[in-house]
Amino acid sequence: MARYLDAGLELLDRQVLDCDGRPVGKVDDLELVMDAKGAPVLGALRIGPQALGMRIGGLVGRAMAGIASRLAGTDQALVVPLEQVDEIGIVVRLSVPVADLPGANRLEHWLRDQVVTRIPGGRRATQ
Amino acid sequence: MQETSRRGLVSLAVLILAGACVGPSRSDGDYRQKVANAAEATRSAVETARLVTRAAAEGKAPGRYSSLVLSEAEVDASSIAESFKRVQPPSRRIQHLREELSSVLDSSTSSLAALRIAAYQGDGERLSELAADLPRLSSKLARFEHLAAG
Amino acid sequence: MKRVLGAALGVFTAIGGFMDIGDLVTDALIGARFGLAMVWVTVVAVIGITVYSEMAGRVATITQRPVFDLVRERMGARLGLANVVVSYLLNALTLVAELCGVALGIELATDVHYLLWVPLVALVTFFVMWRLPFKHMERLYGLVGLFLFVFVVAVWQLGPDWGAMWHDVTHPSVPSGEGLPTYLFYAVVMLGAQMTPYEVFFFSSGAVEHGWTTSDLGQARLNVFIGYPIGGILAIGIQAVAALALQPAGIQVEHLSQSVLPVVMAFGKLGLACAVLGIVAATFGSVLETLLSSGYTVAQHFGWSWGKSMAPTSAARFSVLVIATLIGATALALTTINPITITIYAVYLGAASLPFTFLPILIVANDRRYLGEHVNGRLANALGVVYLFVVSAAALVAVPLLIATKGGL
Repeated sequence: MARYLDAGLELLDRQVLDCDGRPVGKVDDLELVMDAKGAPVLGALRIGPQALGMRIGGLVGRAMAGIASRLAGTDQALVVPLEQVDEIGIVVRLSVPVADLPGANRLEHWLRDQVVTRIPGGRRATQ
Repeated sequence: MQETSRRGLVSLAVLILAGACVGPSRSDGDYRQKVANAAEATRSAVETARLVTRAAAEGKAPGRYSSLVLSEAEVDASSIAESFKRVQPPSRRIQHLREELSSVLDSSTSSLAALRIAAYQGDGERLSELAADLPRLSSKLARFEHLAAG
Repeated sequence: MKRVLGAALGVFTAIGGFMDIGDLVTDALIGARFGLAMVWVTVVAVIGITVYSEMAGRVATITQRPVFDLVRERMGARLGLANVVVSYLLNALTLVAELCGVALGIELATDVHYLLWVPLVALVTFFVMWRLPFKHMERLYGLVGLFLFVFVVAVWQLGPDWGAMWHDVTHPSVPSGEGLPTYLFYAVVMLGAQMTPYEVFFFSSGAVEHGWTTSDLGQARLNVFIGYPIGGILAIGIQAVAALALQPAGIQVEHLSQSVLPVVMAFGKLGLACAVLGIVAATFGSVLETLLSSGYTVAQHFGWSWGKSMAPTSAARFSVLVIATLIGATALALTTINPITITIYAVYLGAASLPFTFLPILIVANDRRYLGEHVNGRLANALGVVYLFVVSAAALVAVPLLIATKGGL
């Protein structure tokens, strides 16, 4: 990782996949931490509409974050520490499965359990 | 910026859609244009009926299709007539246009209604009989279309 | 042999997928009003959609990143979000038009009011969406949609003066009684009818759904390079028969029943049967394409798992969004909103939205980190840039024209 990376261009808004290639979301925001010398370094990726909404800001952004917080039951976005990032390319690949990320894809799971499985045939793939 | 301009576009489209149908006529020229438009649109319905009844007479258009086309033509013609009559002629000089065109529009609508009924009942003979009237209506309407330029 | 058959099937699918209610209505409307004076717009549009579909398909095949993934990456969160919202709404509006289109097609054969068919069409759509494999779904409507060729064959049956027709095509002029703004308004409508944004979304997402890899690039190119131009011939056929049969009578096309009238005059009941089959298949295909595209755009923007070929439980947000969109569109169609008006506005606004879809594709198709050796060649770039200007110009004049012509009056 010695390569220079423009986080705004090459990291933000990229697709995030887990170690098995399952979609986790997009890099919606970045979390910076101070290192020993007091310089900001990249600490973690923030994923989820809560983070995206706060980044966009304004009425639209706040509305998005608000709705997302309601739906997910928390106003905290998913935070993935940099140690769990395996590779940054045209996609961002994590070194862990999505199931190991606490609170990832809450809405997806809720819809799956409460809606989709109740419609006949929802469990089967068509190909 | 992008978002607002797009949103503006959509609401504009809705506004124009709503406004394009009937508007007030401010001048004689404006009214003549409305007369011409109403005549042209009605002639389109009459000509559609002429083509479909001819196809029906040749055994080409099935009854259900003819009946559908004719009822759509009738609905179009009657709604044109209705909205035309709602427009006030701006001066007495061209008041006569309103009466003249209204009577042609009404006879077009009733012709189309009679055709629609005959098609629905599968009465081919009556259909051809009634259809013989269509070219006359069409040329009457065509005369009003030239008013747009004048 | 099997490979040839597979390749041919792909091409047929592309032809059927090209046609939709927008083509069926606007081609007939414009043919009856302007004759063949807008065939050149069709040619221009077909080349454009071919160029950009190929690019988007290539990017998706190699990187597995379809259009709205790129839109978010290249336009950023804010502009990307605006784009996805507008695209979703336009897709949904087109879906309403296509749903009504299928129902209107059935009405042609049954004379039972189309609104009664709308819920049934929605139900069948749901079953196909939920149960039928992607490939079979595409082939079903692609192949049956070929019945629309009856419009092309009808040109011969109506016995035109070929010399005069060729002259009208090559020397387009504004017909007397029509103003230049009106002509340009309908030129934008024609552009939008042939270059529908959802075709690009669907083709690029379809490449991922098919599981295409670099070795399938040949098939992807074949589909667009042959399929779309043949689709364009269909569109010209519809214009030509309308010009031959309806224009002399001064008919203004306002119903789908008028679009098929020339075919009835040429071939009678058999012609009508073919036209109805073709219309129902092509519009039903577009129902599925616009519905899936609504889901694709949003899911790709937010990075959800998506895909018709997945079990709905593995793409729950996508599946729920698709079903909700279908229900919403059905409800809107049932408000007795005029389907032909919806169609024309969906097509028109679609044309105005094209630059925002095309720009990110063009940028990424030139990025070696994404495509390696498969980046755009000179021809693709030259055409890509030219078309970016064409669609931007159309988008810029769209609103002034809409006002100046009061919506094409």
